[in-house]
Amino acid sequence: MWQKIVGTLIVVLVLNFFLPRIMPGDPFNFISVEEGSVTVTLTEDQIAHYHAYYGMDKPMPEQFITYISRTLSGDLGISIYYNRPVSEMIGERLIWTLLLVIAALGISSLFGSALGLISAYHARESSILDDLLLRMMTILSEIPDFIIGLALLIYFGAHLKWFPLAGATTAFAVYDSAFDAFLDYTHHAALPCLTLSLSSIGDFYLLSRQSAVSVLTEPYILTARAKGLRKRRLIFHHVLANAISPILARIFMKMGGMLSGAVLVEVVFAYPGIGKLMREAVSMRDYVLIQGIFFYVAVLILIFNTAADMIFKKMKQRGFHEKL
Amino acid sequence: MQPPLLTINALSIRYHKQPVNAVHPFNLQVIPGETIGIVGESGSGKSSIAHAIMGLLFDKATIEGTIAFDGKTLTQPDWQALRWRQIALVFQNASNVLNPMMKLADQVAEPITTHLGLSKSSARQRAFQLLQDVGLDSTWWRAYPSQISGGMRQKVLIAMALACQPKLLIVDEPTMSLDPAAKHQVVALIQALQEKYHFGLIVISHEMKIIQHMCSKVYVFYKGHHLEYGALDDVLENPRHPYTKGLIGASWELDAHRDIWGIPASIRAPVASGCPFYERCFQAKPSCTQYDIKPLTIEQGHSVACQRGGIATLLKVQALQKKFQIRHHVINAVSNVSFEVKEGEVLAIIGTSGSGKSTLAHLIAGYETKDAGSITFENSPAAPEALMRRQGGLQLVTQDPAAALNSCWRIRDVLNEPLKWSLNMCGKKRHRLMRHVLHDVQLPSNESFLEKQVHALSGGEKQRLVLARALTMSPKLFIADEITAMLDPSNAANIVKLLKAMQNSHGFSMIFITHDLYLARKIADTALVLEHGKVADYGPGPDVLTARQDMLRHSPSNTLSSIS
Repeated sequence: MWQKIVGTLIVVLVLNFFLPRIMPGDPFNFISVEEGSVTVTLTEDQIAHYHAYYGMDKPMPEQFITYISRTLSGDLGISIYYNRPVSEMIGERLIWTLLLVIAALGISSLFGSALGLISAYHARESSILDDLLLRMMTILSEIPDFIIGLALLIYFGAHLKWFPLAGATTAFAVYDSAFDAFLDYTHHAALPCLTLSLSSIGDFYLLSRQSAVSVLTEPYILTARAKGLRKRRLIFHHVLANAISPILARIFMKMGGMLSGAVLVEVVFAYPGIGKLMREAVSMRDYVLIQGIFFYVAVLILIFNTAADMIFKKMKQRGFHEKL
Repeated sequence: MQPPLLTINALSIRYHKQPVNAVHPFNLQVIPGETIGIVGESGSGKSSIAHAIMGLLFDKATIEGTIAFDGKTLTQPDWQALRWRQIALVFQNASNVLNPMMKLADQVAEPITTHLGLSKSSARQRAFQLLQDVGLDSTWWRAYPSQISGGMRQKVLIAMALACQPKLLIVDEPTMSLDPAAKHQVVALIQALQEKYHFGLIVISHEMKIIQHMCSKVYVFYKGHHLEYGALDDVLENPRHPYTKGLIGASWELDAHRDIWGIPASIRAPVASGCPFYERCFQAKPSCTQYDIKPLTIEQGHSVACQRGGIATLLKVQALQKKFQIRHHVINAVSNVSFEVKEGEVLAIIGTSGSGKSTLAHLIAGYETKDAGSITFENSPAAPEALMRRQGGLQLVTQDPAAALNSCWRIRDVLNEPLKWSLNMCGKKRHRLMRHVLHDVQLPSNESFLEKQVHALSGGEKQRLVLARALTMSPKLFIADEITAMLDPSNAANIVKLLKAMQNSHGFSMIFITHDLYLARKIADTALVLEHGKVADYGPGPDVLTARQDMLRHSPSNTLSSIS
C-alpha cells in the first residue's frame, strides 16, 4: 500500500511541474495585462529579469530538480503574482475550504444516509414516501453544484437577503465574543455549505438506500425478525451495521471529490477558500502558486483515499468484500 | 392423549402478486414432545409453512386458516410474545443466515436479553452454555460468521433457536449440505436436546432418511399440496400416494441394494386444474384433472389425497391353478397362487427353473388357460386376448427374442403389425410411433434401419426390437419373462437398465420374472418366490430378498419333486 502512495505522489509531482508549463502564456505577460483599469506593462528586460529571478531561464530538467528538492523539503516557493510564500497563502485559505467541505460532508452523509435508510425500510411496501424521496434525490444528484449555488445565491442571498452574497466574514468586523465570530462565520458559510451538501446528499441517499435495500433482503434480516427483536435493535444492529460500510468508505472518497466541487462553489460565492485561490492562480499563470495548490489538494485527496482504502481493508477482514 | 401444542387448521399461504397459493389448505398437529416430519421436494412449500408458523409472512403473503398454539388461536399481535420465546426456528443453513457483522455468541445472546430480560453479561454466559451444549468449541464463540464452517454454523443456529427454551422447535433442512458424519452428529444433537428440553419438534427435510430417524409422523407435501399423512412406519412401508412412493424410491439411503430412480419430471402433458401430481403420476386417469384436493384430516390416521384413493391395484390374481398331465402324472405347475400388482410397481417373481414361473406368466397373458382361480385387471375380470390387443393393456416379452420374431420380416413389418391390425392406425401415425419406440429402446430409427430384415440383427438388438413392439401398445402391465436369459452380461445389463428406465419414465407396472436374486434386488418393489408352483414367500422386496439369502446358495430344486 505504501508503495502505491509513494508512486502516486511521484506522478503528482511530475504532472504538477509540467502541466502549468504546457499551458499557453507566461506569468509575466499576465501581470502586464491584468483585468481592471491599472495597466502595468513590463519591458523585455524586466521580463528577462523576472525569469532569471524565479529561475525560469534555466533548462527544464534543472528547474524540475530544484522544484522536487524544494517541495520535498517543504518549501513551495514564493507566489509570482502575490509575491508571498505559497504555503502561507494556502494555509490561510485551506482552513475555509476544509470548514466548508467537512461541514457539508457531515450534513450530506448524515441526512443522506438517514433518508436512504428510511426510504429503504419503506421500499418493500412500495410507499409514496420512498417513491417521492427517490425521485427528488435522483434529480438533485444530477444538478451541477454551481447551478444549485447560483439558485441559492439568487433566491436566499439576492432576493430574500437572508444571507450575505460573498465572503467568509463581514469586512472589517470586530467581534465582541468568540460566539459572535462563530455566528458570523456560520452566516457566511451557510449558503456555500448548503450548496455542497445538496449536491452530494443525493449520492449518499442513493448509496445508503441501495445498500440498505440489499441488506434488508438478506437472510439474516429474516433471522433477526424471527428472533422477535425490537425495531431499534433490528435497524441499528442488523440493518445499519451491515449497510454502513460502503457509506463510510464513500465519505472519505467523496472528500476528494468535494474539494474540487468546492472550487466552483467558492467562485460562485466569492468564498475565500482554496478554490477561489486556485482560480486566481490559474488566470494569472502563477506557476508556483498553482503547483502549490495542486500539491496540497493532491496530498489531501491521497490521504482521504488512503483512509477509505484502510476502511475497505478492515471490512474485508470481516469477510465483506463481495458487497463493496 | 395430551392436548396438542400446535394445531393448524386449513392454513393456506399466497404470496403477494403471485397467481397461485404457495401452500394450499392443510391441517397439522404437534403434541408436546412429539416429532413430526414434513417432507417433499424443493419448492413444495415446506419453508413457507415454517415461516408461517413463525408469523413471518404477514407483510408478504395472504394467509388463511388458523394456527393455534397451546390451545389459543393466534392473531398477528400474539406472535410478538411467542416468536422465539415459545416457537423457535432453526433456519435453513445458508451462508448469510447469520448477521456477518456480529459475533456468534452475541447473536445467540440477543434473544435472551430481549425476551427473558437478562442482563447483557448473564445473557452472554447463557449463550456460552448453549454453545457448549451444541458442542461448539469455545475458540469460536467470539468469532464472526464468515470465519466458521457450515457444520459449525448449523450448531450455532441450533443453539440460537434454543436460547429461550421454546416449547416448539422447527428445524428447516437441518442436514442439508453436511457430510454424513456431520449429518449424524446434528441429528443426534437435536435428539439429545429434545430429550433434555422436551420441546415439540417439526423437522422439515427432503431427506427421507432424516425423517425416518427423527419423526414419528410424516406429512408429505408436493407443490404446496398436502398429499399424504400417516405414522412414519405406515408411510414408509406402505406409501399410498404415487409421489410418496417415488420419494422413497429416490432415497438411496433407505435400501442399500436397490437401484435408485428419481420421479420422472413429466410422464404426460400438464394440466392447469386437478391433481398437482397429474403430469408425473404413473396411475393418472383423465378424471384426475377434475380432482379437487381437500385438506387431509389428521384424526383419520394414514390418509392420502388421491383421486384414485391411493396407489391402485392393477392386476389381481387369486387362487390360480394349472395342472399338466403327462401320461399318468399330474404336474401342479401353478397351485393356489395369489398376488397383486399395484400401479407403477415392479413385482419380481423368483424361482428356480421349473418352479412354474413361465406357466404363471402364460396364464396371465392368456397363452394357457387356467384350471381355476381368477385374474382381474383394473378391477374387472381379465380377457387376456383383449388386453393384449389394446393400448393400456398388457404385453409379454419372453426370453428368446429369435422365437418371438419372424426372421424374414423387415423391422418395419414387425412394428407395423400390432399398430395396423390391432389398433387400425393410419400410416402416418404408425410411422411416427414406430420411430418413437425405436428411439425409446435405443435402436436407430432411420429408413434404412426400418428396411432391414430381422435376421440381420444381433441378439441384443432383437430383444430391443421385441421390447419396442410391446411398447407400441403402451401397456399398463409389462410381463418380462427371463428377458435376459439368452443375452451376454453386458447386453443383459443394458436391457434391464433400459426396461427399468422405461418403466420409470412411462409409469407402467411390471412383472419381472427371473431366477436371479441379485437382479431382483436391484429393481423389485415386491417379490414373490415360487417353489414347486406354490408361493413360498411374498412381500416387500427388501424383506423377502433378505430372508431368502438361502436361494443364493442352494442347488436348483429338483423339478421331479413337484410331480405328484
